[in-house]
Amino acid sequence: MNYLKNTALISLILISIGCKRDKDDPTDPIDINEEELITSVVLHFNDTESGVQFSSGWRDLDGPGGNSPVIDSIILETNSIYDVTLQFLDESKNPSTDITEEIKNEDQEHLLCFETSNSLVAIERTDSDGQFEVGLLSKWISEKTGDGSISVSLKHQPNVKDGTCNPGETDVEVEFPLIVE
Amino acid sequence: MLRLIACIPLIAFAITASAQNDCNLTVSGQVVDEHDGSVLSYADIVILGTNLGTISNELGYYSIGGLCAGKLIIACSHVGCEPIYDTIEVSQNIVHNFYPEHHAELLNAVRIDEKKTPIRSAVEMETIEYQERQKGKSLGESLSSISGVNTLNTGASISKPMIHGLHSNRLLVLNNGVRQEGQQWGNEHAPEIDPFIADELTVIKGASSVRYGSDAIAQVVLVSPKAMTDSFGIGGAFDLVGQTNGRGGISALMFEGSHKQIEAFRWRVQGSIKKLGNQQAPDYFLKNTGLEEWNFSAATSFSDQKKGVELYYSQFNTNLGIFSASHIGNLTDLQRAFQANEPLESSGFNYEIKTPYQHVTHELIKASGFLATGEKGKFQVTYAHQYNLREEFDKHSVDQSVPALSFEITTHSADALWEYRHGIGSKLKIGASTMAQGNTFSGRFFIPNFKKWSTGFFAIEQWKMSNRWTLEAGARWEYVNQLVFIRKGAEVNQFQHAYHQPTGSIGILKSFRSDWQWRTNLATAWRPPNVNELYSNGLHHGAATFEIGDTSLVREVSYSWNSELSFKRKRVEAQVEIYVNYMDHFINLQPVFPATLTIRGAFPSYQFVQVNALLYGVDSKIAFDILPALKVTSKTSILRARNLDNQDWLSQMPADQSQLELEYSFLKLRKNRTAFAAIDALWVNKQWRVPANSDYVSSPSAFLLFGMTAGMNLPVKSGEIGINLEINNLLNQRYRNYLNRYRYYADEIGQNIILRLSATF
Repeated sequence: MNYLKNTALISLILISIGCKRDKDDPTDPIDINEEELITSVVLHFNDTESGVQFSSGWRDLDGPGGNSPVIDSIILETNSIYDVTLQFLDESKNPSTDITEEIKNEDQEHLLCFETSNSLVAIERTDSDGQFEVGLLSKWISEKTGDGSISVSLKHQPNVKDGTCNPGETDVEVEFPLIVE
Repeated sequence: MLRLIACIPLIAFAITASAQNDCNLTVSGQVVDEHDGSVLSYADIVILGTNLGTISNELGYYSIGGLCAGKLIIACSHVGCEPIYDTIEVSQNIVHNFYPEHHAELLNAVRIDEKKTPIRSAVEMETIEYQERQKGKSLGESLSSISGVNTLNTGASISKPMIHGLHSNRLLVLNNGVRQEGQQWGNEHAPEIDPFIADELTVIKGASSVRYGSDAIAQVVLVSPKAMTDSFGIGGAFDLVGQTNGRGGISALMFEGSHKQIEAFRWRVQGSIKKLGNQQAPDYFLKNTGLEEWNFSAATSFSDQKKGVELYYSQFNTNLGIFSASHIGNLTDLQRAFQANEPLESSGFNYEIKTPYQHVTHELIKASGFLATGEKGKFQVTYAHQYNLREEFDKHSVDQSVPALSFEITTHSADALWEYRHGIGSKLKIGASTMAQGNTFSGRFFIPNFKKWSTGFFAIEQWKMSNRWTLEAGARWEYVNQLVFIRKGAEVNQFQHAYHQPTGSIGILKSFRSDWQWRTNLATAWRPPNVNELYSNGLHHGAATFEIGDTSLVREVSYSWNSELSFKRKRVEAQVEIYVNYMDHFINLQPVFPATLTIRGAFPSYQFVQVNALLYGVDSKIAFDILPALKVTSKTSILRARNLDNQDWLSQMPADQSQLELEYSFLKLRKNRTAFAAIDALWVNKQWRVPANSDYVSSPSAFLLFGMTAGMNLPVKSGEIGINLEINNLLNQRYRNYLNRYRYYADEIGQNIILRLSATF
């Protein structure tokens, strides 16, 4: 009878320590929200000569899928120099949250990459993480007139940042129509 | 684990044999296993009090002549079962059958007693023993030794079984008699079952499958643990598996017992742990592909021939590293990965599992009981509780200790079955099953919370009409109700999806000329659209696709026919099967245009749509003993899968393949020792048949792989020791497999030397 008692006891203990349960109620779901959602990329331009300021945004307020994003065109004057500041926002919530600061705090893991078609503008990153450039601040020089596009991407490069756009994972990649008049 | 109870020798006692003049009567019949209906040869049958007796032949038949009329006691005994004593009245030639109950594990009985030839019911496709050669392999990998079964892989550690091109929600997996309920819909969600629990894997097709559900579109896989021990005392088994690729291994231990003091009581405890580091392709290590697994189970039973109860508990846990280079940000990253010759992220060897990784826990509690109803009937009930937790940790999340996405699914199920044997090889099964399920998620949205209920009723008749013909038919009606809950702000929206439909299956089995067998089966099956097919709406990391569900999907119905001809002689064994499966409203993930534009860039979009599909193919197997010690086995599988709506191929289907194995058995060994050595070659064609414009890169080239295995078993005083050496990808070749999602990023793993040691005591 001892065997019986022992094994019954062992199985009971095993079941009681093992038994796992879901504490959540299916009828009370959490809100559908993406972790660390970035909905908007805003470029703030400052014409270094005239001091004229304007912004262009890429906004997808309902996140991936659903409604299409709203994309502003970037319209620049030829032969001008602009100081550009990038801003990343989550505008799906009210009030919206600014994620730029978070990127700045982790600037050793992040790099912004710019690519233009038709060589309409030349872009230089003007900020640094101490070793490599970051790109939240940059200088844009419009060189010739024409229509094209510019892509802005945010690379996440933890422990692999080497100053180039190759390593890491793409967190943001947006494309703006670009017009240089 | 070869363990038999020695049947008590029969001692003949004279009872009453009223002597009469007429002593030329005959009693004859068949000996059939009570559990699985297989015929038992070499059973001893004696008439007590006389010197008359015989043994059953290879088909289980016996005949004893020279009997005198009157009342007599006839006894039947067979290894591994209690003797049966029946009193019969003989006045003319009579037929008397025996249904001994095998306590010893059915599988072991097969191994011990080679002469036992199971009656193949129209239902069974193939059973494989979970033997030394398979130990340490995942469920999917083990099953893939059956022709027609492939695996859908995500790297080297996640493999899902795929039968005739169908998998996931179209393939039922039963773990110890309970439908496995987890997040089966995901291609990278492997069955959460400890391979060391499995002693026998069976693929079932045809009428019997309606017992397990209406949704067995691609058949049913049964994972059966070893039956409870029959030997008094404590026994057990120990397994150790080591492998070079991943530099790790598995250790498993099992104890079981039964005791003279309480004969009806049996118990078993079992556990296994597994640890692997980064796995290695021929030219590089695959970063973050380590895995760990820890599992245990406990079972107790109280039973005799007429009634019994069993309590079972098992827990499965794993942490699975996801190959870093496969977790990518967007399409640009994906294209860079394709263009690169080697993975963009590489590493040396280590055991560390970092993000991205998956953690999965699966728990099963099962209580079951049976009661004999008269001589020929048996009533069975089962209750099961399953809990499944799946947590996915993304590569780039703020807090890496919190899963970016997690699902918890809890399932309660109850089944009742009544079996009635109304003749040799004839059986009626009637039953009902019901299930209630709840799913919750947290983190990133992929599938919503839901509750699901289902109820089904079924009946299966297996009727042996004559020695040559067996008819099998089954029907099931099932009702499924699903409520989905989605929160938008303060409001919770509820959506209902309810379905009900009958399914049916009919098959025949014909034996002819003693060594030929033909079986054919017509069946329907259906399944409701799964919640991910209805509601998923999000980025699929790693695949860099945007998946869009469709809430208007309707049930998918399959109409299938298969036919198999097999031939078995002393030196030759051959089997060929053809099948056709027409799928009405087949749910298919198809590309949609334009691509979804997100802040992470443009993603190719795929939407779940319903098409009519036709899947057909051939599986064949030929085994031939060239010499008594040398056997050659060849297997070939061919499948064609068409989307009938746009006259194109279906994606993610296995390519044509052939396998050739040469096995040498060492025959002249000392008593009871066995040893073998085998080499094999596997050829898999390039999958040419893919839909146009639906993949980023063309399918990988055809490959030819070599492997070898050698092993021996040594009986020792109170058990057995087994040693087995296997080398996979013998030549350390570079190749990629169309059915592996990592083919986009890296080569398959290279040479892997696996050494297995096992001991039973």
